[in-house]
Amino acid sequence: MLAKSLSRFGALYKKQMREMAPEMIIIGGAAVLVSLVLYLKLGSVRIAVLMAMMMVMGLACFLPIVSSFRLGQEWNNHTIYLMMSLPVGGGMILGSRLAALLTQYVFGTLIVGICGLLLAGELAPELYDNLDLILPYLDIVVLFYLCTVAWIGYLISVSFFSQIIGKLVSRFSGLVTIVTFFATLWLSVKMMGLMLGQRTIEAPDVTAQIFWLLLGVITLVAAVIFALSTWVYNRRVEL
Amino acid sequence: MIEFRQVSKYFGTVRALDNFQAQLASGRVIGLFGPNGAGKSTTLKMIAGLNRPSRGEVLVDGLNPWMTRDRVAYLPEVDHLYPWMTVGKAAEFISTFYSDWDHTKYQDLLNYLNLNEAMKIGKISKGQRAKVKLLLTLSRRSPYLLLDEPLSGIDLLTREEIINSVIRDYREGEQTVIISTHEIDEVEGLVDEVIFIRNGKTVLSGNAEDLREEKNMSLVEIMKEVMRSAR
Amino acid sequence: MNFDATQPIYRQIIDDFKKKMIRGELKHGDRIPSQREYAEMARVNPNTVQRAYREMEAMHMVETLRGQGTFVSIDQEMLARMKEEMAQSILNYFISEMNALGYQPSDLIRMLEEYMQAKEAEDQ
Repeated sequence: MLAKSLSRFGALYKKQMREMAPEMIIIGGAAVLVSLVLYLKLGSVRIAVLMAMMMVMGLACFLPIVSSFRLGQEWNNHTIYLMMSLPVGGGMILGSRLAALLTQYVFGTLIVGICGLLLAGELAPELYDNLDLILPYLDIVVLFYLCTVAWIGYLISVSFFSQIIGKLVSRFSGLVTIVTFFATLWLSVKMMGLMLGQRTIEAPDVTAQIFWLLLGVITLVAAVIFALSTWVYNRRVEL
Repeated sequence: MIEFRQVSKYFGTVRALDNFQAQLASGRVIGLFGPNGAGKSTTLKMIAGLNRPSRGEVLVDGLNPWMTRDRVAYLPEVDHLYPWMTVGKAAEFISTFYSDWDHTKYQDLLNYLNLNEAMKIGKISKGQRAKVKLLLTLSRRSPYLLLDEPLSGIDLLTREEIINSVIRDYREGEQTVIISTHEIDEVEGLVDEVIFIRNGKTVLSGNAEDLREEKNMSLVEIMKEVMRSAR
Repeated sequence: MNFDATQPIYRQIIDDFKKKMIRGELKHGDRIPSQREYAEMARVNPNTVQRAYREMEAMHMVETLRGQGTFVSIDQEMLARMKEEMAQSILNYFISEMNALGYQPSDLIRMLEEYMQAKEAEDQ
């Protein structure tokens, strides 16, 4: 049973990755290209380097959210007929998409990150002299990164939810999607605020605790929205 | 067996099915005939679990159609395949989801329909796309086969290939085929039972041969008569 | 085989075999196509072919031997009877059609004679 589910999930995941391959190549290519240009041309103007890399990083972060809106396209080009007739539930269909989009995020950010680090090594090697100052805080960095992954996952879940709600109506589908997106965003952020506000934090290792808390809250809210999306897909969506 | 119990279906204010009652016997080829908008596609989609009745219930082998999707091979009227996939990749993808996928059948049909695995679905002709859809649907030993307008917009020769494939493939008594089409004359010899549907209701149903005997008319002529009087 | 969609197809399948047997194209002991082969050749639903074959078996026109196929099992007496039945129904049809056109039985005999004389002259 598990093997069957895994192979199905794998097939869906591979299909998603294949669909997103062009974007990933573009991001990877952009990161490498920009880095090369910066290295060869603008090495002296540090601000320019920083800005350029931040823009590419921004792209890498933003792209999965934009890609997540591809879900609605399945209705437009009728491939949703194939998706819905496959004997699997919304959990797998949406889950594989989420996994692929998160893969895109991790891939993009890591490529840009690595290019950035390499670039820094060449253009500002003095930063690496102070490495021992940064190392103790490595776990915080990782936690911070995980929080960003959770945050992207959360945004993708909201995107899925609003698109699916949009597909429940035959007219003004786009409008409903947008309204649902922002409404859900607003509500869930409020919820997160509430959940965070009630926590007390104890003295040692404050920063790590904050990030663990943040990670937990974001993941929980994302999971709830994701579960709701799955429920609506399974029970309410019709073709 | 597939049962429609007093099924009504509304899409907004449009009534697609109106107290639709039917029992589709197993192991037969059933023709679903009627004008555009009669409710044929809606009926097939309901069996495939892609939409739900507003009232009444649909049962496939006594179960909710969402649960029996693994027993149903559904060929929609629309182009539902990913255009960037090749035939081979699409087959590989789909086969992962169905335990009744039959690779021998797939190879056999691939040859019979003159298709090859390297063809990119988005780049082939309409007729070839129709054949690919059929290939991927028929390459399973599914108890239920639903064909929604498999012949529409297809050239004559390809239509013949498609019908021949369905006949070749059909396992009498084991498989239930439900075919909805406007080209009734092409499927005269193919169907065992017929359901004539109009405005979401059954206007006539029965065994094709018995109807021919009774009325001395072809199914095409019966359709015309039945639709005229149903106004 | 092109069939007339206004009549039950399984009957036409049986008639097709009857005619072949009467004409001597199919003789006692000859193998006829399997149901599946026939269905594919004629582009007809295998269920319909099954119905036809079953009736033919019930009429003892054919018999199926397990693992070997279906064979013509008709004997001379049955064949002669079948031939006569077919001839009779064609005759009935001919006469009723001619009656519908307004021809009397006496007309029919005259017309047949004239027709046969003309044919003979043509052949010479």
